[in-house]
Amino acid sequence: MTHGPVLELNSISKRFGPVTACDRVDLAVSPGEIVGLLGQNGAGKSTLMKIVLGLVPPDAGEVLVGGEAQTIRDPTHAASLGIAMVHQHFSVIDALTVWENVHLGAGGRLDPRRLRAEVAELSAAYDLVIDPDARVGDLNVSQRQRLEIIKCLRRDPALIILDEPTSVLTLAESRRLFEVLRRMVADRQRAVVLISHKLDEILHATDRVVIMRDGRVVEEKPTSAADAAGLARAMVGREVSLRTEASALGILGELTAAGADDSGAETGAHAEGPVVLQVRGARAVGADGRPLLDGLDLHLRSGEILGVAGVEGNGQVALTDLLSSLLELDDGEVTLAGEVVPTGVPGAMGRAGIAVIPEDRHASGCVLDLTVAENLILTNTAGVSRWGMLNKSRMAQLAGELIARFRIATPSPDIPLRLLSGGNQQKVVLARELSGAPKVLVASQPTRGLDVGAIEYMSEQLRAAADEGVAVLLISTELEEILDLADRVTVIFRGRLSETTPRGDIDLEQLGLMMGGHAA
Amino acid sequence: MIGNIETILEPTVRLGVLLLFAALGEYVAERAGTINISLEGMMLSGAYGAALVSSLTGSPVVGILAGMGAGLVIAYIQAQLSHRLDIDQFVVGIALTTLALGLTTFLFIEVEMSSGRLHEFRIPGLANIPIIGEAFFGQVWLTYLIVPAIFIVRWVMTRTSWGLELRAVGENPPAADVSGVPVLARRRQSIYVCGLLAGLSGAYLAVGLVGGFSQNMTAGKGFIAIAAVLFGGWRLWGAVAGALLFGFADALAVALPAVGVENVPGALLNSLPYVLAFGGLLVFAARARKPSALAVPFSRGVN
Amino acid sequence: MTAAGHSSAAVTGNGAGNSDATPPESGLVGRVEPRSVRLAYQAAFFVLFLALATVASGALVALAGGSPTAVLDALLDGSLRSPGAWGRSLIEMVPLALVGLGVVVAFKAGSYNIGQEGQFAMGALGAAVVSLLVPGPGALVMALALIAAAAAGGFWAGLAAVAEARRKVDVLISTLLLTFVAPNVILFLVSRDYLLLDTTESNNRLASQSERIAEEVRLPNLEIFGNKVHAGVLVALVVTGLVALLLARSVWGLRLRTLGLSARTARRAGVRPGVVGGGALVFSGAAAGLAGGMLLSGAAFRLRAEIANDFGWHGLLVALVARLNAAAVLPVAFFFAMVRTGGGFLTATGVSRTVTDVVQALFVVAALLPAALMFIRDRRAARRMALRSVSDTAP
Repeated sequence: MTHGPVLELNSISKRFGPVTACDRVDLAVSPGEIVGLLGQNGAGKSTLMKIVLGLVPPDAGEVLVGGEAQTIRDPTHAASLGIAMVHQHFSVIDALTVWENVHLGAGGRLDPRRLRAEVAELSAAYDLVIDPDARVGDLNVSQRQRLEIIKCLRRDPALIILDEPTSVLTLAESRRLFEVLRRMVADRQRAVVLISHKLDEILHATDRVVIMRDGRVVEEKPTSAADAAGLARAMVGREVSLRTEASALGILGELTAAGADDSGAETGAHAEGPVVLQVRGARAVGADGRPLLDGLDLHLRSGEILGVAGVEGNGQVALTDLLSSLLELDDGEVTLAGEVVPTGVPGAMGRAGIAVIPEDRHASGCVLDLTVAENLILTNTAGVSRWGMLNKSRMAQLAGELIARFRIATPSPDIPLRLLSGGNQQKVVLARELSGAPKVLVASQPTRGLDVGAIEYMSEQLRAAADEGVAVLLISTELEEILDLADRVTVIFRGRLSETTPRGDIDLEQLGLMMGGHAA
Repeated sequence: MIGNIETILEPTVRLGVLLLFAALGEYVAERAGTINISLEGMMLSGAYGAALVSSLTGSPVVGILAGMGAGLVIAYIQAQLSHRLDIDQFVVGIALTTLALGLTTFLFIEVEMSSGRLHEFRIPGLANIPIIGEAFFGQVWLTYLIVPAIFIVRWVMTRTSWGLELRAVGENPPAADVSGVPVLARRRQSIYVCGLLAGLSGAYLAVGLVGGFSQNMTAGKGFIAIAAVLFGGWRLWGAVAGALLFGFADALAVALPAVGVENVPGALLNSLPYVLAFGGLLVFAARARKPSALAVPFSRGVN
Repeated sequence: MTAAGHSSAAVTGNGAGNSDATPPESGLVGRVEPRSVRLAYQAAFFVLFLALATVASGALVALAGGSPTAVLDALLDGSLRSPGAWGRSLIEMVPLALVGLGVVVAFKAGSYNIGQEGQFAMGALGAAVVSLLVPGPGALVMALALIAAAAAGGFWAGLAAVAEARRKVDVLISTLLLTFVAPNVILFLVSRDYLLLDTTESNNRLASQSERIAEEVRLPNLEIFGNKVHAGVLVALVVTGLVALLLARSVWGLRLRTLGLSARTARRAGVRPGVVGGGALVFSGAAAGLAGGMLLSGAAFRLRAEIANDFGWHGLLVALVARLNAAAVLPVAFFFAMVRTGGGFLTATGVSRTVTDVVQALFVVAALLPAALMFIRDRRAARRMALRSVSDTAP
């Protein structure tokens, strides 16, 4: 067994156009250790790992695997060098069985009997319970992650990279995952890189922590010598408001304390507003026969922000789709200001006054190949047209107003939306949705994939909308975001919502249990 | 009555197998994510290549291989344009089918060739079974190849890493990509397989059934083969059933007058396979689960 | 997924060493290449491949023992130079342009209707039925015939639209299948004396065809510089302008393009896929049907099963060569029409007129390739942009 580092990165740099993703990054990982790679969204940690996996070629610098310089061509090549990755968005395929997925990409002979045995063996050794013959589409997220880890372990890698592995897990599941990680490391002297932006898990699960900011490694120390506040400062590297900082950093404890202190009064005021949106007994079944919504009840008052917390895949998408006219209910109803709104009728929710910032803005929020101006007026064509023809000057005028009001950075309203950055595309969606003076604003994972500045902006806008009397439904898997913004909090689990709790009364332990499906 | 069944069964097998070779190829391509509408062009070039080369060499076997090669040429262009240069697969398919039609018609008129057809190979004993003997065991030898072909395709798709990877790139290309599967290469390869099988189908038509080439001799059979795959819900046995059913519809046009049914208008008989395919899709298409990434182009990074 | 998917402006990541001039705060993820530069490249590639297609066509002719220059001469004589030739080309252009416009509309809406050949035939059938059977003043019957043609073509495409809306049948395949049924419907009608079969002495009930439609229900002719051109040319011009304008500037056009680019966004914004997408499909069928009606009322005058004579397929190719740009449909259609009419003059050169099919197909392939080269050019830039957007999506 070698005692040198498994992986050594020397002065790696990578630029994407004007943006420097990695700037002379050095990193070494030794056998038997868990290294935490900590950083904000866009700090360059994902790009760095893509370079290690061969998905992105570096502009400069050197990658050494087991002491030898390598040019890693693709994930297969990386795997042959003993580097494997557990992906944040799963790399498993729904239509295939567990054992087929485990084999995918490994090449060589396909021997079902041997594969089933190997899956069983690994699942016993690491306490990762899974049925080798199950179809992956039938597994829940936590089982999928087990599969993902088994798939990775079967290639017996020297280095395992985990990319935000807990974003889809409950607290209890996360703890179990970290136990498995420990065993994987202790067992075969493997090395692990844990990519995360959550301080909690870095402090709990790692031996050493490396902090990245703006493409650079800014600090590196043994985890035992680190404390949350210090890591937080190093990660953000600038002064932001206390609440946003806490939110961005995910310091749960500090946050609830702060939240309860300074907004108790507001919460009381908002609870008085009239109920605008009501969903009663919503039921819907997916194409594969599994329930999407299972008797979901919801009421939302004007001027409040209701936070829907929960682990991904529990009906958040269906709830957003329902309020976007994309999903038809099998049972139950949606009423807006007392009027029943038909479900699944294109545009009906929008016409009734429900605006939506969808989680998958590229697929259903905007059209990348239309211009910025066209995207801005997409739901409001009546206001800029006459006899069915678009009035170019009215369009330009309206687009100009929205661009100014929402501070959208674009050289012209007439370029394709595709050319804007993610944050500005999201601003376009927000601007369009708010321009129709909606009664309800549904924001689903509104800050996913945005940088710190854009996150701050989005939070301000949601709060401002609520202050103007819009009823805001905030659906997010980021607990911190919900605790930061919401007046009341509810948990979505298997297509139903729990009782709501005013933010001041939240018991974190209780919330965690509910997200894992334990009744309150 | 029994004689009538025989008269209909024999062309059903003949024409069903013709569709089936092509449908097998299309099945492979579609499972990997391509609706390959150049299938018609592949069949037509396969037919021409086979007829020409077997006339030049006097060897039907060499002709059949040439037919497969001609199918492969179309497949190569389709694969490179749609899964390397990222041009819309339908647009490429339409262009290639047009090119194949134009080129084979032109060459057929400009280059003379002799005709010649494979002989029936009656399987001793079995061919004498009443009713089904002639239909199943009295065909040209190429017909019998369909049986191993089906099982080979089945084995490859379910029991090899390559087949597993083909199915994976048809379902979820980004996931396959990060798992280390070369997505575009697999998609191109699936089209090559499709080209070989469609070329074989065309060769079977030209050398095995007709004994020569004629202008636009496939006459939309490639599109029927595509319909068979859709009709079969993207499952192998479904595609087999679809191809045989449409083959049966095709056979009726040949056989009905022969068994004395004469007052059915030819126009109706000619359109029967297409009407049946359309009807079949009306019934089955909504229930079928198609490969999730069917006709969705893949490029790394955009996900 | 549209054919024009890659024609939209692209971004170059790091060209000419001045990317530093674009700070990230501009909101752009890269540098926009000047439109003129892109157009110049595209034009250059287009000319290059046009030349290659021409050379390949010439080589083919030489291979067949003909003289490429003689063939070119014959094509030009037949399509432009001989008396009345460009008039014939214009007349031939009309159906091609109308079919092509329909294709543009359907494809832009994400509806892959490729059954124009059948819709065209059904349109001719509709026009023939009205022209032959409806009594009344000639002009009125003619107008009715054209309306019937559009309706029949629209109906034929509508079958596919309904099958898609109700039973999720792929439009691509259903429109194709229906294409093969259409000529059989006509064959049935024109081979029965109690239906449309020509029972006049001259035919002697031998050929499966209808009678010629009466002079007064035909499209009126115009005479321009000694070329006879029927009124359909004007219709084609007007319709082209209208469709181009509506696609770019109307609410309907915007909604249609939205649907084609992002079905979910469209639905959210209130676009009914069955109405707008199905409508685009029916519109494209009606356009093909109208084209068929124009052919019957303006040039063919009698119905046969083979009336479509590849107009549907060639119209589809016109739209593809025009890269789904409505304004470009007319010139491309005229080029295809020239090849079609010129083909008739090839007999004297000893080369089969089917060479024109190959030439057309070669030009179609040639028209696809500039996009491929642009794609190669853009790929590095696009990758950078894509990876950049991934790196800000994945934390």
